[in-house]
Amino acid sequence: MLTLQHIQKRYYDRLIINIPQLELPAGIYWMQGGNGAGKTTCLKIMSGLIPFEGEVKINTDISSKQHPVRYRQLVNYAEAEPLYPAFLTGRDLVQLHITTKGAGHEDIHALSTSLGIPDFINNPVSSYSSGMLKKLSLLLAFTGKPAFILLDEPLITLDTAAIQELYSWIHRFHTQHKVSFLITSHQPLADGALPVRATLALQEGQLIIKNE
Amino acid sequence: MQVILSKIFIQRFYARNTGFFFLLFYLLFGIVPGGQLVSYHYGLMTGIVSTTGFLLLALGLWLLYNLKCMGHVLNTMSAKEYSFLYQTVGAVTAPRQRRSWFMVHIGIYAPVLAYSLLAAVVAGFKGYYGVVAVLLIFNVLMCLLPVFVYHRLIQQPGAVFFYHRWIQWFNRRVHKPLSLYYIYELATSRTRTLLIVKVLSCVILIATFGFMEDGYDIRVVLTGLLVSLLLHSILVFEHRHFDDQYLAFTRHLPIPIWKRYGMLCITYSCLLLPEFGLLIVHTLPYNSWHWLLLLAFGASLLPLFRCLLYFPRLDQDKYLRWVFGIFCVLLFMTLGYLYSWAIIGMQVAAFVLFAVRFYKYEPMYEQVQ
Repeated sequence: MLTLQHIQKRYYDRLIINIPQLELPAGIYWMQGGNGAGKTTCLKIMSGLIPFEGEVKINTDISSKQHPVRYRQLVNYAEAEPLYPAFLTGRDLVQLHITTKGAGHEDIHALSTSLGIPDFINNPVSSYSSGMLKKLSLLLAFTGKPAFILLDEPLITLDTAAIQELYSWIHRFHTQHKVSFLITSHQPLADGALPVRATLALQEGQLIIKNE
Repeated sequence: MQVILSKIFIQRFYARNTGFFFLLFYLLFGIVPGGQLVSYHYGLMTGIVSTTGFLLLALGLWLLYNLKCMGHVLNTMSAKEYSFLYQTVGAVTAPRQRRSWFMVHIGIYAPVLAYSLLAAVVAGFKGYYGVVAVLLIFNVLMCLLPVFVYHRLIQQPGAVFFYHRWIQWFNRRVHKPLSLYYIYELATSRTRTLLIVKVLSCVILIATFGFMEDGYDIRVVLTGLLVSLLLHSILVFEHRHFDDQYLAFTRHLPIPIWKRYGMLCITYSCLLLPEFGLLIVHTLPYNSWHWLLLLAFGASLLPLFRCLLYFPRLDQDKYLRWVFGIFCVLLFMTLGYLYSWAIIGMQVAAFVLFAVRFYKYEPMYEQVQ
């Protein structure tokens, strides 16, 4: 379970995110919101990437501020538009994540093969298309043994086959490894694509559960 | 066709490297009085052709220049706006193509070609016929090999050259450690800045060692090292920009803070490897442990500069003011034989700043989402 308490995030004195209290029990969540609604900022707060006022906890007792290392082992995050140093290869990044996060729920090589990543994994990321970069960043989000995975706009730039593969990963990780997901998107989810527990919406900085 | 190729490759090459050629011209012709120019260059060429070490150094520098020329042509050919070359130049006959590429390459390689051929004439007059042969073969290779490469690329767009195959082989076997990411970035994307800083820094250290002929004093070496480290402060400032832009994802990795700080110290120790080498070689004959002190000094000051930058409002002006302030404090501590305390103070200050600020840091230009 992910718990948010008294969350506030300001940019230049403007309140962007204001979440007094929210609990997200285990499940798959779909977060919607237009451009500039604050979805990415919200996910960055939940992943502990940016400073904020308040507290985010996983499993009720592991705080992103007080236990930053343990928290980062349990919450993974994939950016909407990943950016990596040009000289790194996909293999370097996978190795870095495996080294820091440890063994995963599933074999990372099998996962990467199912997305066709081995074809370009030894090339520098500067040579990747946006779709290839997206596949790599999604693969990295499935490394280690996370309890919660935050996926920011995972569907953009992916081809239809890759989207289906991603849905099957999410489904499998949720049912077999009890991993929860929070997925942001501009568009509504296709009917029956994923067993979504609730849809969330960001309205004027507040995260609201629309339908459960 | 030759006129267009000349505009695209030759004129752009000289326009883009005006600063480089201006400096070269000054070093070759500006520092010598007009009346001694001929004797100066005659002496230089005699030195090149009569000393094996000097000849190898000259050949090495000319090879580097040739690689720079090739890099310019290949990068231009790979640029999107010049993709029309594949349909135009690629459509003419092979001999005409090779002739055109030969003229292009001669056009940009001309300064070295002219100087080395003059050196060959001097070698001929002095009776060094072996050197004449070496210079002629070297220049033939330097002119013809690039033509082969350009021709191959235009005939087979996207062809994988040996270099790229080697890079792929390297990438399959070697993982780049997180602590060396910034070194890779400097070596691949900011080569010019890195080279300038390293050359100046090593020149300062070598000049400092010159003072030791009158008697060894660790404080003199530390002062030289301080100035050399001051030069690196700009690379440290660029480090923050690199971290903000490309390494935001690493903040999400479950790495303990002490380990992150250790990696920061390793990064700057690796950056200072050439200076460390010089310091060890020049101080070991005088003292058996001072080199360790000097290494610790270098590996403490640069992390401290970096940790200052975990205050996002510290822009370049404010940062440089802090750097000069720290420089002055350290200089006085060094002169007062307090260098061991200085190292401890720097390490403690850097670690505390890092531990307190790392998770609280957010770049100033963070977009409002």
